[in-house]
Amino acid sequence: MDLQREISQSVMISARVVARAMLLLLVILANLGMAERPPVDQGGRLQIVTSIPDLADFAARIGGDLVTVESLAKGLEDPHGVPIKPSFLPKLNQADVLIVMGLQHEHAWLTALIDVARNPMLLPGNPGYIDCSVNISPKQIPEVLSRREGDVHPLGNPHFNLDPVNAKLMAKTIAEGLARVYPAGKNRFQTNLKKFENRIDAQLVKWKKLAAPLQGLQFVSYHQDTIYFADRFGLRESGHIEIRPGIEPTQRHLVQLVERMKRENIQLVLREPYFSDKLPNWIAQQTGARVAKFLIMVGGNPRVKTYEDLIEFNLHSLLDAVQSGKGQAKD
Amino acid sequence: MFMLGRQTDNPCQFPIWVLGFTVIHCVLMSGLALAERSWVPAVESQGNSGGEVEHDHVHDTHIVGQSSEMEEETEASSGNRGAIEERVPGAVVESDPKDLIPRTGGMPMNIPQGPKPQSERQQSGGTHPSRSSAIEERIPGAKATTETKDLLPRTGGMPMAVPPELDQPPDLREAAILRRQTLLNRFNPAIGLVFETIFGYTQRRQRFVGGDGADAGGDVGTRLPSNFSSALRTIELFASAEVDPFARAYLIASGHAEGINAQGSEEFGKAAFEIEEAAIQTTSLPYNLSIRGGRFFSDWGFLGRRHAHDLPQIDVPPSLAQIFGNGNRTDGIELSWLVPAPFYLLINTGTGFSFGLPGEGPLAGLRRQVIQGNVLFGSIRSYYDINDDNNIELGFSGLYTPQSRVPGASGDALLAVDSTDPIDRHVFNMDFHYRWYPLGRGLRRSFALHGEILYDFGQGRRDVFGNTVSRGAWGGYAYLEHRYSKRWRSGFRFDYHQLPSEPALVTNPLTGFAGTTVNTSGNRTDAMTFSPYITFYPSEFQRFILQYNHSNYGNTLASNNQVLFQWQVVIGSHQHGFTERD
Repeated sequence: MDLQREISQSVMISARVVARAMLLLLVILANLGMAERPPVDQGGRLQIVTSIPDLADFAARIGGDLVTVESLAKGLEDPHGVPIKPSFLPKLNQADVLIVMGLQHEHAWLTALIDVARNPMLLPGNPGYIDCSVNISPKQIPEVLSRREGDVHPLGNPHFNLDPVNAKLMAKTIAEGLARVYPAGKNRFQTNLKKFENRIDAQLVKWKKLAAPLQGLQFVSYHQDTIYFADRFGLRESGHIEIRPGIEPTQRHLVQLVERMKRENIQLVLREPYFSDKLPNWIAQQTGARVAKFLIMVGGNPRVKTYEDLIEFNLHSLLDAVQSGKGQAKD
Repeated sequence: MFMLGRQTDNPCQFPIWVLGFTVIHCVLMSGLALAERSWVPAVESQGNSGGEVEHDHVHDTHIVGQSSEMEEETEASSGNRGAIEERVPGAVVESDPKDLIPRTGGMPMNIPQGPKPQSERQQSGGTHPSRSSAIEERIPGAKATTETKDLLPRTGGMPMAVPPELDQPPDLREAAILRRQTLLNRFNPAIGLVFETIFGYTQRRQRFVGGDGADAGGDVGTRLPSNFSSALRTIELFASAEVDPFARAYLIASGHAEGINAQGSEEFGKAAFEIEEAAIQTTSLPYNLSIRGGRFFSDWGFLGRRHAHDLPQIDVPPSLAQIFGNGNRTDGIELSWLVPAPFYLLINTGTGFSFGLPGEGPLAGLRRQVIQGNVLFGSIRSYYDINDDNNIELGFSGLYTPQSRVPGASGDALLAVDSTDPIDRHVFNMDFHYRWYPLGRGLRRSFALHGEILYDFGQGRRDVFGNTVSRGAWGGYAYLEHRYSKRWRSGFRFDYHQLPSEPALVTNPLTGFAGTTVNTSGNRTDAMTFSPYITFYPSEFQRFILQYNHSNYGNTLASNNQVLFQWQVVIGSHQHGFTERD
């Protein structure tokens, strides 16, 4: 009994000590954290947080030396399933601008974060919230809104970043959004935007030439994320390994898919980096098709550092798969 | 004419006279429009190259961009608005470009079936060149797949009388119509429902009676009969909406059927609804502060913040359940501060009346040592990314309640010591987490270790002899969870807790029969539960858990075995909040 009492007392005392130590720590931290950043006019920079790395690439090129940019998701991740990490909160809390894809691309994780980030500037509708889908014409808007259709995006397919023409529109939205937050930088943003657009225009001519052998090529992808890319470069999206967006395939679906691929002579399977290569390789084995790695975001491969790298990587990956004989996904 | 063509696409029925009226109206309006507008020049479909770009209307924006890069036109970067205003003399486009995207607020849209044949489109549209033909003409080899259905207004099958300002290119007109719709339901809260049924087998039905009369900890499965059973544990209704720029409010009401607990009574089979949370949360306080008031699950500890259906296992860990029942529910107010540090640090403090959620359904329906009385609580929580794949999280929580009572702490105890005396209680909690969540594969392969350690200290408890004593009880749990595909995970939970009071009856040391001998030694006892489980997610919105519990109760009760199976679905709006993260 006495031992019990002693334990109880010592726990109570140590709890008090811990509480005091924490209070002290807090006071110190609060003083550190509250230190104001210099405004942009006086050498400071706009703090931009983006949901995916593509947007960070655009924002960095448009913002130039007026901004610092950080992407929450990394290029390798499933953009719909980024883990809700508490370490994202300080970044969102201290950011001036949040750039998102929109069309509910990030709804599974970012919404929960901005809800608790204590930064009203970044809430949808406020100037600090830049939604890159506003100038895009969405594709694959679902005709039926039901969960029977899987994890559908009610406003349309949100993987529009894979069309370089859309990239220009997204960059334009970003330039306008940044000017809204920092009007004095408007001309700089516009100049940089023009530069970016010209660059993409020049590249697009090159890419189109590069993609010529891919014209009309039918393919199957794991997730429903290729339509914008396929439409731009003349490929035909003809099926998915997932039974519905976000829902893993059943055995029956795979058998049907293999049958259909054989029947329609579909010779290419695209694998996004965040999916296991088990099923794509199995399908390739069954059908004699080839597997090509297909990145959906900048950073999906260590070599892919800019948006141009992304498009080029994908085109080369497809070309390699089509031109070299049978093959597994190359990294 | 344009309208007429579209209406034939709508499968909905409506009275003939409405059709007649609408046809006349639309013909008139279209006629007027054709007479007035010069911005809709007819574009013949043969052999146009870039020259026709100027006549394109708004939704061809990206085409404009593209043709420019092909043909170096100066119009290259002009956006929707600019493009229209340039090409439409006198037209002022007021709409924000974002309005071009139909926002239905989650409502199903009545979309006409499929694209119309080219000929019909040209016939009905007349002056509007089809977008896809334009694309295909200008970009050799390009295949335009944009479907006409995206361009059509969505009226839910109702005929439309089009005011003049709506007679615009389809995208803008659609946006204008959407803006003008009567939006009585648009501000309704987002609503979601959770259905959860538990099937169980329990080897023994037995209960533990504490010396102070509380049913402390004797609940592991005892509310299920000593054989097979099934129970509707939860129907949860969730509704939430923004109040104004400063606050958000939400409701979580939970229904459960009176099963085993009510056997033999008139209540049996009836469902009861209970408000689990009904709270207001501020959204724009300065200094990183946020206040929550009402009835809510306090941000205290780890699994106590979650609703029963949302737990990683089927039941609440017994050590936690013993103190707080089914969650940290409190009626009060809570202030939290996200410390403006470069890393995550959250401090939370609050006060309320009562802490814990007693009795809900057959699984957790025992009287716990749930706190009834004024309570002060607080917690501090931090998180650290070791690298992209590994992270750790640590939280400390504490609460103090002076003179609180243990509900129902009298009556059915065998040695009915009068224990309605108030108790001063302190509860301390530490929770720790390690997660391995490999970048890019985390949805398919991950590993996590979570745990909580609790110390519940009470002044004013009674021992088995009726003496007032001060004493604490330790408890805690830890579980490992391994995910090896998007659908499957398995885990193992170990739980240990001391009971805060002595058992009234203990195992007879001579016969070995549990709960047959009066506890004259005053020895306390402890309980251990081992719980392997396996979880299957057919999709994000449905899950099955199969769980086995093996419990040892020291010198008090016979050890028990239990198999539980949970089937749970979620419909409607269901957003995983920050506290429900894996």
